[in-house]
Amino acid sequence: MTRILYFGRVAERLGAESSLDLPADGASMGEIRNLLAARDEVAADALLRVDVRACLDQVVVRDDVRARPGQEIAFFSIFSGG
Amino acid sequence: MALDVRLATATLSAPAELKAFLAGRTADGAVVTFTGLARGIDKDGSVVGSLTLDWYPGMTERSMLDIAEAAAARFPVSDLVVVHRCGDIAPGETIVFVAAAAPHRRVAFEAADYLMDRLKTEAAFWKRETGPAGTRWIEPVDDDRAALARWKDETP
Repeated sequence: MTRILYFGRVAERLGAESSLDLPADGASMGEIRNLLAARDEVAADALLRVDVRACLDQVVVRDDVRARPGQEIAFFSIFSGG
Repeated sequence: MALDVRLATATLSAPAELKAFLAGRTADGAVVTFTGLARGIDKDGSVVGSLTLDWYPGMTERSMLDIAEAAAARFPVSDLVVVHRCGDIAPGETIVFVAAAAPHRRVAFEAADYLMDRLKTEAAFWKRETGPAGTRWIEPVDDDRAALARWKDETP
């Protein structure tokens, strides 16, 4: 199982983390977002937003970037700043 | 040239930070500091019971360091310190402390100003206020973005 981390408004709705069975050859961040969103309406509403960023190994990435098992995956709302 | 960039999960003492930053400093003529406090009243006039800053361990520190490195590349400062609180913060507590040391004051003022403008908009924190009316997420406002835009024309 691959851990999925949530922050900001996403964490408020879905908790701080979740997990997902990722195929050995990985999946795109967009596919991962859709798989997580398909779980229920709350997940769909929290994740399927243009201002919710996908983040791979602590770098914000586009949804077409591929993630492989073992990489750190996160989704979060835009930063508030300090 | 030293960059001291830290997250503080418990307390942050501006006087203690300043004392350490000043100690043994003989080559610089200027130290400018900024201390940001958590406010008990937000800009709509509502009471704020507490402020919570969520952070992404690793990524948040990296975002602060990136900003400090950019400041150091842009201004000929001798040293910079950036300390930011995370977690629950009560009104009146110090939320951020920034200091810049340089041989002359202008550079120190500008570096501290630049650090704060970028931290306020770009640091990887998620901030919410809790008060009698519930919890409210805070996002950068137009004033913060306008402050940041002042530096854009020269940003490398």
